[in-house]
Amino acid sequence: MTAAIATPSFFTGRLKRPGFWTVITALAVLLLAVLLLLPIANVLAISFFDATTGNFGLSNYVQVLTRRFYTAALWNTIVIGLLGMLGACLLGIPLAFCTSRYRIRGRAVIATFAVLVLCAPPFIGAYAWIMLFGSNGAVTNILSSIGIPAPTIYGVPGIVMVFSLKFFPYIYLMTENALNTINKSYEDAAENLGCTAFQRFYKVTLPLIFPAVSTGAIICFVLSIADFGTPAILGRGVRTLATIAYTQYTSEMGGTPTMAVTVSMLMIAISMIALLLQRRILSKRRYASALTNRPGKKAMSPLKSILVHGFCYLVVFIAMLPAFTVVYTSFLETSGPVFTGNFGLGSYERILRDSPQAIYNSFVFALAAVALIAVVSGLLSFIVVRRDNFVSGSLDLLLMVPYLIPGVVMAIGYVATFQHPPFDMTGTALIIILLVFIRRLPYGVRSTTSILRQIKPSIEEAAINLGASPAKTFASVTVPLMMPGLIIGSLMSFITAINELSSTLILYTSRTITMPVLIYVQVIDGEFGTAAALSTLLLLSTGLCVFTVFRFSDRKESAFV
Amino acid sequence: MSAVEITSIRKSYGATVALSDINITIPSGSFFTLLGPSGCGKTTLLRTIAGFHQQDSGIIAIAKQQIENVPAHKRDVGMVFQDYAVFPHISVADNIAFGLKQRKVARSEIASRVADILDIVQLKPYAARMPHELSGGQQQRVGLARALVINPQVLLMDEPLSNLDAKLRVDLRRELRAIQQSMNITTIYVTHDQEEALAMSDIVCVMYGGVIQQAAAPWDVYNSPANSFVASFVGANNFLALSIDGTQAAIAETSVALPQLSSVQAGGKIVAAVRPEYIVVNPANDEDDLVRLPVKIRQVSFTGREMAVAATLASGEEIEAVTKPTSDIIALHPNDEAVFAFPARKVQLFEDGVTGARLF
Ligand SMILES: Nc1ncnc2c1ncn2[C@@H]1O[C@H](COP(=O)(O)OP(=O)(O)OP(=O)(O)O)[C@@H](O)[C@H]1O
Ligand SMILES: [Mg+2]
Repeated sequence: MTAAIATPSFFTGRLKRPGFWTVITALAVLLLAVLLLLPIANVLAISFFDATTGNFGLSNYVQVLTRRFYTAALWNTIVIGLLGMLGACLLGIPLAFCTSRYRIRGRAVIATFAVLVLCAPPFIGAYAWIMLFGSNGAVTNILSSIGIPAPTIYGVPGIVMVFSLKFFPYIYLMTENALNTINKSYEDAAENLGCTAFQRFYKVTLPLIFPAVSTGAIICFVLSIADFGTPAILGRGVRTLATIAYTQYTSEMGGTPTMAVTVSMLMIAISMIALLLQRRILSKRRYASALTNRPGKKAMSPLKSILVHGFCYLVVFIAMLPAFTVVYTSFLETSGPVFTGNFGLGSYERILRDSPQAIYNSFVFALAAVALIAVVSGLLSFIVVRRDNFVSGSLDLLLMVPYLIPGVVMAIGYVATFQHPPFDMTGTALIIILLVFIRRLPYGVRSTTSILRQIKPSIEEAAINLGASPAKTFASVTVPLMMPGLIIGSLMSFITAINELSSTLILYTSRTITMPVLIYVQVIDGEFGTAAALSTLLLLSTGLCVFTVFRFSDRKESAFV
Repeated sequence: MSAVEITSIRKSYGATVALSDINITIPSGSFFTLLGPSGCGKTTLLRTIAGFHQQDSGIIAIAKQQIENVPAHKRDVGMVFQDYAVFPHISVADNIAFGLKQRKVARSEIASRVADILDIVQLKPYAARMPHELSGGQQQRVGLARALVINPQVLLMDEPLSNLDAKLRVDLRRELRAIQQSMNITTIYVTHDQEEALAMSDIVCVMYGGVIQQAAAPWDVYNSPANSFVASFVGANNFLALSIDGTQAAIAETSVALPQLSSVQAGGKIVAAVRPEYIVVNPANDEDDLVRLPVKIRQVSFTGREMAVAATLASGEEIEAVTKPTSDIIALHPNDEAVFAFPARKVQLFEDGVTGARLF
């Protein structure tokens, strides 16, 4: 038993060699610096050199903030972001209130639909609505045949509607969770003090759930202003910063994407302001409460029950309508862009024949990115949770950044950064995989850190004490205990990775095209049949992942927000 | 089985000094207990020995080998954790075999050593169970077996019994001590329970504020405390201000004859300490050599085996006696006048202050 002890000099010599975690931390810092900070810094730098003269200064920003072309887009973006957020709140909060305070039949169905809506690619919503309410849409045609003008789906109202229906699950799931965990005694106390039901909700319940609601609202806002697919498909002349950044980028192709980048910076600034604002509001309101009196669920009178059930199912049904439409359409036979009205598998035959590459790419890229995410998020979360130093604190903060940077911006940054030999990666699969990896890494890390915080450090110390090296301890003790979090994190990053559009659209070539990109291209070309078949494939993979997460997670739907 | 020698260990967390100049020698095979109030640095010292904290300076040697810079996983010290830290994802037997596998012990030997240790900690029937199927006490046995099976040079335990209920704690501590003695393994044990410390240890080391106050046999720590902190922390004690005027000493304005005062250099303020169990309440008048103090009774409480009588001296100082529950004592009421008396030779003298040195 003295064998393990060696001479002091041997060890003082050894100590100079950095430990396992020091090496990993250094690698993590390097990785994030190159793949995250460098591209953003590049984008930022480009925005300070004048588009025409190349002089250093704020001229690009002056242009963006004064020319009508840009200010109109800025205005549109903010209006769409705010209205989208408002719409999502108006759907999400009442829904959360109904499902948490009343006995709703099939609450699980509602929650599952909400999660599916959340996970489905947003552009699917946009073009499904076109198929229903567009100028040649099914509903439009039916309505006009009986002489009623259908409401327009294009422009700001359409975009806002799609965003509201797409993002309300964030508000719904967060608010429902908050409503389920507030102490019922507060509401009872308010009632006891003479508040009417409405006053009670307005003066007590709402302030208590405000932190959750506002967090959900900010997510909706940030996603709304960053979304590219929906305004691109439904815009019809209404430009947002995201679509401008993309079109400017494609028109500046070859040259320096100065204006695209400057516009992008504006988007980041807006997201950051929104986030800081919410942090500021939240910092003044922290309500910790020991949960003693869980709120119960009330039974309803038959009439009220019908109304409440009607409302709940209507909301999720309308939100799911695009998905239903897409699946339905995918089984319709087409001849060219025209639907013949018969059922068949023609669209599927065509995508398998014409675009196996896109399907293959989508899965390979997403799986590769997720494999990277799983490994890196496992290691990163250990650094963030277990190592208490300046670097680990900064890493934690740094991992917030990808949430804030729109995909278009990251993609432009990647092209700007990795276009020079020997690091020229443009046009390769690697650049797409790396970009998707860095954009979705926070999802993985969030999931693994939350589970790691529940594992007591003494378990790992016990392994070290018994002679396992830090690396061995991580592999044989930490990883097995972290596995549920790793699996959930990987599935959730897979969902977002396979549905990635805004960044891949800038990076793809004919060899690296993915399903979302192909769907976008086909929708623009009016080929709805094959687009629907591809979308169904995406929905199916997404649905499978959601199902698996439900199996693995005890928090079920709240794992998704 | 190996002596531990700790020299000038220092450790601070930012501005907090957790350990300042720790020097201890632990003879091979002894049971050494770190005892002290919360936050005094016991855990820090133990974890520094285990290698989970890097000391700021100082030397730790086990069997004359310096280990203070050896990484934690290469130190040959076993550790038992307060929260058991049994690996939840592997069986009891695999938990115990974990350290042996790290040491590349042959498969057949692992099996026999695991079986032996399971016998010793009385867990034989539970070998195949998963940890969540065990009670807290059983989990802690696994923790102990896991640490013992690797035959470490030193066994470290940080309040291993504090999560168990009172009865089990007493049973397990006897068992622990018996196993330690039969295996003759040098053990460093952390507790803030003084009864546990006195009952189990060969050496009790009292810590306070990151400083070792006294390390000695339980008997000595109790009867010959090195300073007033030890005197007050280990067992109960009454501290009474002593006023000295020339050769005359007085407690609460009652002059007392303390022969030991003559051997004390009169310096600063002096405090007299007397343990509650030495105090006699209302002694018979014919008992000689007693220091007698008039008191007013404050509270009389029955604690089961004995009576605790709290009273106030004329000076306002509080004093407590612990006696057998006789009918006279039970009959006492608050505000009754009484006399507390104790033999002069039982009085210990300390310098004033939390850690004032013992003068006699
Ligand atoms: N990681 C840390 N960072 C900063 N200060 C610490 C840390 N760990 C311990 N301390 C401080 O060091 C001092 C000693 O702590 P330690 O945990 O060793 O006390 P302890 O004697 O084990 O107490 P207890 O009986 O409560 O377990 C305390 O003042 C504590 O606040
Ligand atoms: Mg402690």
